[in-house]
Amino acid sequence: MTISIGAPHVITPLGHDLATTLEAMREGRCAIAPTPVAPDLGGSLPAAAIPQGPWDGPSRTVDLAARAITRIWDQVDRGARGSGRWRWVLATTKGDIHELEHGDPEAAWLPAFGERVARKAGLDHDPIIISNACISGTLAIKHAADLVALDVCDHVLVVGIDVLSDFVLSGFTALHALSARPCRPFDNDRDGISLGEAAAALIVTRDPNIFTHGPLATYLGGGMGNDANHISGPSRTGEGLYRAVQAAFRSAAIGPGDVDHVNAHGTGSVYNDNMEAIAFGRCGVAQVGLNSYKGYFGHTLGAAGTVETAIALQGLREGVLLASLGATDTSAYPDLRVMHRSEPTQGRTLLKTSSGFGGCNAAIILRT
Amino acid sequence: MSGPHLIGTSALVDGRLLQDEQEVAIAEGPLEEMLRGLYQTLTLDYPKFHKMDAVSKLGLLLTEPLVRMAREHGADITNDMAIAGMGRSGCSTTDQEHWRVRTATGLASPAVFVYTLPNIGLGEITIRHKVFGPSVCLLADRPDAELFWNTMRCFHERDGTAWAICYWSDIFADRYEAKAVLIGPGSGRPLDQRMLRTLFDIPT
Repeated sequence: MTISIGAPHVITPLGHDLATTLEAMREGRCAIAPTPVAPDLGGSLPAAAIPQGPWDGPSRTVDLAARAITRIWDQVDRGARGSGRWRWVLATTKGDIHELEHGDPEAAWLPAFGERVARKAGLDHDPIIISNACISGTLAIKHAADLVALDVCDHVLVVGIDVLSDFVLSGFTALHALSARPCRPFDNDRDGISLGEAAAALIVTRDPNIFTHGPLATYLGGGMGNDANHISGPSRTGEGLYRAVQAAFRSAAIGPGDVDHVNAHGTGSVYNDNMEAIAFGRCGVAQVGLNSYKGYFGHTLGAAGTVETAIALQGLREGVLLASLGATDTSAYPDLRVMHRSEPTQGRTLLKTSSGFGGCNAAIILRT
Repeated sequence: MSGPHLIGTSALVDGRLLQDEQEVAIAEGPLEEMLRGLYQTLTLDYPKFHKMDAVSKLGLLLTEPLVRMAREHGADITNDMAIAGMGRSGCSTTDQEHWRVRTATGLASPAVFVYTLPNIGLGEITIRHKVFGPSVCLLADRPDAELFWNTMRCFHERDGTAWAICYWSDIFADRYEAKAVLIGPGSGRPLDQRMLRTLFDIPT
């Protein structure tokens, strides 16, 4: 069975849709900028916020997720929405954690958040909610494709969302994980992450004909693996990521030589990027053009896998491998082909990876 | 690869840790004290346990008998085991503690913050037992047999893992719920969605 992906819509710190976001990235723009935070966090931190927009209702987070969903229907054949078996998957780490900050912890529970998003977006059933830290978005695409492959359903709407909050900013500050400047994934001088926010939606389906502009890509396979090592420190051998990529290769029935582009997790933390470099070397994809998008709009946590997959695929469709913004000196990784500048490409096959707290790792392979 | 079979169950009810409905450990007291008592009774000798938040401890204790059972059945825990965890409130109790410390002191505690992700308890189980296979953390209003079933099928038919643990665990205030099943190949009862519904006490 061929599984297709399409109808992407993203809302990022660089734009309110995919075309605007990609254009800004092609221009090398960075959305990570001093952002007001609580005085006891220093009053300002580098972070990437979604620009002011028409977000309304009692919750900006719910509204962002719902708007990402409703905008995909513009890209789907009218008859398809009401026919076939649909599911939807929500990928997030903290959902609408502002509800807890405002004194209502039960409203912050993710099932309650999912219900509010469904209601706002006009969906008639609650989501499958995946909250696997920073791999949530990538794992959600894999899970959606698996459900279609198993004939559980015909189409799956995948939504990734996470927003900036004092809750998360204060936590990463306490971990001393934040860089004082825009993050620099895979650069020798990287010294921490930058946080961002995003909402992204796309459809995984058995029917490529439901898309008014055609499918974005074909899903070839995916894998997931655990480091089984530490809840907040990456494996020194890249074991979980290595296993995830190997599983994706098996599932896609391809090998490392078939991969044209790697869109890595690349947070800009010293240990994460080291881990990825080791894993990619073990997987045989170190010489494939590799980038991270965190230098453009920060780490969007549970949304990252969904938004980055959509951007990477659209980039391939437009024949461009984007620069890994912030990576100027990568001499510590002589074997890794980090994209120092954007380049044209004829390549079509993407390996997208994500890694997260808890030691989890996910990899998916798609072809435009 | 043979189809999935029910190999065993575990549950934590009123301070009693049950394996296949037989009590394997019992402890009393408020939640944290009870969890510590069960740890001691099981003689786990795993000091990391004491650093975990309550919902991670609950998941670890709940799945301990099933991992032992899987080993007794010859399962390759490291390479051939998958885990699906499901809960309602995720790590809400820890979220609240993080926010309480944050607002009370102006600073956050890194030791608390790292547990403010719902999947960390799942990660703790993979670390304790060296499970490199797939795992997924799902959130739902109540135990969802269809979601467990489909996820288990993904593990089995898509990821190729023969063994799986599916568990429901939830803590909010002093209330807790904890049930788990071990699924594997071989000679147990062939598993279906209806059986999962019964095992997790899900109304039809």
